[in-house]
Amino acid sequence: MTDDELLTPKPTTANESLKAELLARTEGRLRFDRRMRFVGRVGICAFCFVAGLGVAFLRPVPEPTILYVQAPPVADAPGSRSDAPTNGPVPRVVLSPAELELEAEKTPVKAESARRFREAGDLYLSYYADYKAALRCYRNFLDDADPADLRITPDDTWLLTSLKRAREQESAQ
Amino acid sequence: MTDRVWRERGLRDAVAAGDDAAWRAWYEAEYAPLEAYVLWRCGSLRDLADDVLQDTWLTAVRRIRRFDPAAGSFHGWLCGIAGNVIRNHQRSRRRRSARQEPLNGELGRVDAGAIDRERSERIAAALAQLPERYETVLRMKYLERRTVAEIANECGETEKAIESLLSRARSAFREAYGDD
Repeated sequence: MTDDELLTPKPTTANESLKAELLARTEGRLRFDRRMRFVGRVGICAFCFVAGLGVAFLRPVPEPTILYVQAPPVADAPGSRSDAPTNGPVPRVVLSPAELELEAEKTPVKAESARRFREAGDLYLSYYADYKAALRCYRNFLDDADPADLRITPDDTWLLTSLKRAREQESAQ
Repeated sequence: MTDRVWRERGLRDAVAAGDDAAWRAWYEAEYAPLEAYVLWRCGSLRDLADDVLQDTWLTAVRRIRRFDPAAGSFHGWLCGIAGNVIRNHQRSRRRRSARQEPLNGELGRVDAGAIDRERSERIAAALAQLPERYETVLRMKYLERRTVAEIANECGETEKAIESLLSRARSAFREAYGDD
C-alpha cells in the first residue's frame, strides 16, 4: 500500500452511544466537582465557626479586677433624721474638704492645722479627683507638719508620697 | 486577543464554575473533530479510538482549569491530550504483546480482518512515533485535506518548505511503519 493510502482516514460510522455516554460521564464529573467545591466552602465556614467558638470558650479568662470605691462622706442635712436626738453615741460631724481646708487655715495649732490640711488633701484626691486642690493642701500640710510626719508611710497617697520624696531630695541637696 | 481566545476563555471559566450548558455546547462542537482526529491517529481502529476518546474527554474535563486559550485552541489542547493517551495505549499494548506469545497452531489461521487490524495497529504505532512537527503536517494534509498552499499559509512557511517537510514526514512514517 502507498503512504497516501495508509495515511488517508477510512470512512467509519460515528459511535453515537459513546458520544452520549461520554457526555453524561463528563457532566457527572462537572457536577461532582461543583458539589465538592460547595462542600469545601461549607467546610471552611464550619471550621471558622467552630474555631471561633473554640477561641471564645477555651481562651483564658483574665481575673476580674475588683475596684473598691469608698463612698464620699456626705454631711447630713440639718433637720434630717440623723440630727434627731438618739440614745447612742454622738455622731462625728463630717466636713467637706473645702471646710476642712478652711478649718485648717483658721487653726492656730500647727500640728492640728497640718492634720486637717492632710485630711482635706486626701479627700480632694480620693473622692473629687481635684489634683490642684489636693496639691495645695498637701503643700500646706508639709509646711506645717512635724519632721516625723515628713517620712513616707504606707498610708500616704501617691501624690503625697511624691511630694514627700521631692522634699527629701530638696533637703538632701 | 482574538475572538477565539475570548470565547474559549469564557467557556472555560463557565465550565470550571460548573456550568453544564456551557460544557454541553463545547462538547457538541468539539466531539466530531476530535473523533475524526483520534480515528485517524488510531488507524481507524474503532475500539482503540473509543478507549482513547473516553480517556481524552475525562482527562479534559478533569483538567479544564489548566487549559489556556492564549496558548492554543481547545481543539489543539484536546488533540494534545489524545496524542498522549494514544502513546500510553501503544506502550501498554507493546508490553502486553511482549508477554503473550502466539501459539503455534494459530500462526496459520490469519484472516483478512486480522490483517486489516494488524495494519491499522501498525499505522497507529507509526503515527505515535512521529515527531510532533511531522504529525501536524500529515494531519493537515490527510485528515483535514488542506492544500500545500493552505498549510504553508497556516505554518508561515513557503510551499516548497512544506512540500519538503511533507516528504520527510512521509519517509519517517514509512520507516516507522515498516515494509508492507
